[in-house]
Amino acid sequence: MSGTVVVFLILYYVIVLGIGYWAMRRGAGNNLEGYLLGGRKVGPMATALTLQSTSMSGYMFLGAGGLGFSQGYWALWYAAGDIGGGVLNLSVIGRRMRKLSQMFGALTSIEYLEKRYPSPAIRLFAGTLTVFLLGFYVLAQFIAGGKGMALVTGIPYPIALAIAVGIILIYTFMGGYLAVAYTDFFQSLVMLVGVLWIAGASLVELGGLTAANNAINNIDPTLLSIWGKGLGFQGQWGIVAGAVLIFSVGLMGWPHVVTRHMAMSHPTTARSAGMWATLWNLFFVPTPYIVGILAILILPGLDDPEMAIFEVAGKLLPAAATGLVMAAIMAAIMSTADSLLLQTGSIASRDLYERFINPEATERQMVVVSRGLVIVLAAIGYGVALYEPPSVFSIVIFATSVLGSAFLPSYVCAVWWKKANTPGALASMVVGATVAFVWELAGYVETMQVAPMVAGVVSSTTAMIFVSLATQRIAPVPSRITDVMDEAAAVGQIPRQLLPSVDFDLAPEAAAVDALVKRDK
Amino acid sequence: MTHYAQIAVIAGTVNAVEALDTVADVTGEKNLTIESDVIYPYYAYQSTCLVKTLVGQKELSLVCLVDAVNGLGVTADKYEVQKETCIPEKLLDVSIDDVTATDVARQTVIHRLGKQLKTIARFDVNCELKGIIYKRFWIVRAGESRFLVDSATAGWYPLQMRAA
Repeated sequence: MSGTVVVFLILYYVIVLGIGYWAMRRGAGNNLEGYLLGGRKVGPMATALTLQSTSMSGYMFLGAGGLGFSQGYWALWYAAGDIGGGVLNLSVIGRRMRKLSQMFGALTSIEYLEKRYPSPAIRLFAGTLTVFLLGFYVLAQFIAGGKGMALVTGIPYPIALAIAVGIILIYTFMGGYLAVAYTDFFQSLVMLVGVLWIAGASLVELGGLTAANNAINNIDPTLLSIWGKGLGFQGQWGIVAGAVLIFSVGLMGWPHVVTRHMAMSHPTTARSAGMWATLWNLFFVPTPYIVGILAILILPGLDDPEMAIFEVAGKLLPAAATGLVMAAIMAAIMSTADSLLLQTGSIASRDLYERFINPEATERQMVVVSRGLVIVLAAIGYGVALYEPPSVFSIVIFATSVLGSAFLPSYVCAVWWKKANTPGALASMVVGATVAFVWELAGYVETMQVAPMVAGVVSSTTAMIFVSLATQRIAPVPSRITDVMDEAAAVGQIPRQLLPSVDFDLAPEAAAVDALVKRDK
Repeated sequence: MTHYAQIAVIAGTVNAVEALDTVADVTGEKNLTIESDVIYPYYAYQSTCLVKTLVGQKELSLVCLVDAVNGLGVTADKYEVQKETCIPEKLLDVSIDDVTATDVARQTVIHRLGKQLKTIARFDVNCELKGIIYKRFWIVRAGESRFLVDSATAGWYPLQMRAA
């Protein structure tokens, strides 16, 4: 990388810090309090963009590009599911879950599960599994950050990885100091413009998409097919279904994504947020895959397919733009890792340590547990990323398959099916996670030609339905929960024209007043 | 003989007529009546916390209200209260104790700080209980439907829309 790239990389961070400094100076108390008071006041655009950016970054910049480079247009199956994933996610559980979580008084997604399916076992299993799998997800971000840092700065990978992990830890422990919250929007914007710019520059370089496709056809026509390189996945619909489902319905099982639903300003925000999510996805989701495909021509001798997007940017963009765009991408990767670590630390301290080990835990002890876990994850992650780094793609697909398989039926049935009870949810989580995990490890993907995600979701859904129905007598859903579900369902019965003006924050008060009025009658 | 209670109520800007207007505006209904008003209890806390920022430490002061019926906490804008007398029948019963409420308030403020500042840090949050305060809600009847109207914000929520 040229000195210009590094200069503009540094310039980017100076700008970001400047924005943070300006925001904090300007905040001088009141604005900061106003920001903190934001409560659930997150609008549709912010909801959608945060949701989409949380579920992407490291994977999109390395995994997606790498897949496009290796498998050609087959990679777009993943993009197809992802494009509709946001709107599906927000439509199916977004609106009701926001209201249910508020009425349950749940602060975290795991706490929400325990309140809906009342049993400590639910929280213990869900919390432990989530911490374990989010650890993998963080590992993917470490590897992405380290590889990106090495390429951008030219320093050796072990040192670049250490710097990336160090910066992520600083983000996590000092987020408030850096005022990252004020700079997120700027970062997302640069990232979006940057990726579209890389795609545009690639198309210009190759003379357009048709010319590029013709050139790929001359190299290997199977790369243009929907079955992958060498038609490796021809007729394997179980694998195709997995590719489509992983980022569509799979997204509904991610606790860190589901948390976003609990922060919406209004249950009806989900509708507008779905539109924004789809709009964002249409532009952003296919682009990294396509850049990866175009990189087959631009970088024919590329050693590491996952570096396709970074390498294409370095080759085609002006040095200054490369520095800015890469800095934004790096910052996005680190911001995602930071969010994941915060979520993991919060689950470990609140949902596991305080709930099961030390109910009288002081806040100091909780912070020690959170930080301790983050440091342990960073140390393990550094070791794995240094000595035997798996591909970002394989880590993300593995973690998403198991998370989605374990939690999808529980989150969906929590809002839509009143008979979904605690034994059903527990069975669903255990069966879903086990099937997806074993499927992946035992290599059933090749022998059965069915993706772990498909096997896991089918198993967990079946377990939820059968076990819930079989245990209705011994473990009925408490009436206080079905009452809350009825109240949440009532949102749909309010005439559409009235929905935008309803103050849903009054739902708990309304439930109490409603009960009083009925009692007095 | 009727006993009156002396209570602190969040100063409302929405009177009965304005509550009717609010519901009339959104529903288009003309035949509206005030069925009653209820006085809803909250534990009120003044929370303070030192937060480190790029420009040094800032002392934050946040208001936290804990719903005394459902036990749900929420950070809130500053408000003013006025003393009122009312008949006890209008007051909803307090269902949770102040120890539980204080714990909910602390958790609510700490969770908000950690989440909004995106950091794992120890926040020295001090939640001072200011007492129980009340908020008036109007119950507006429109045919078979009932609506709850917040006297402080004019926000509304359907109570009996399903029966309509």
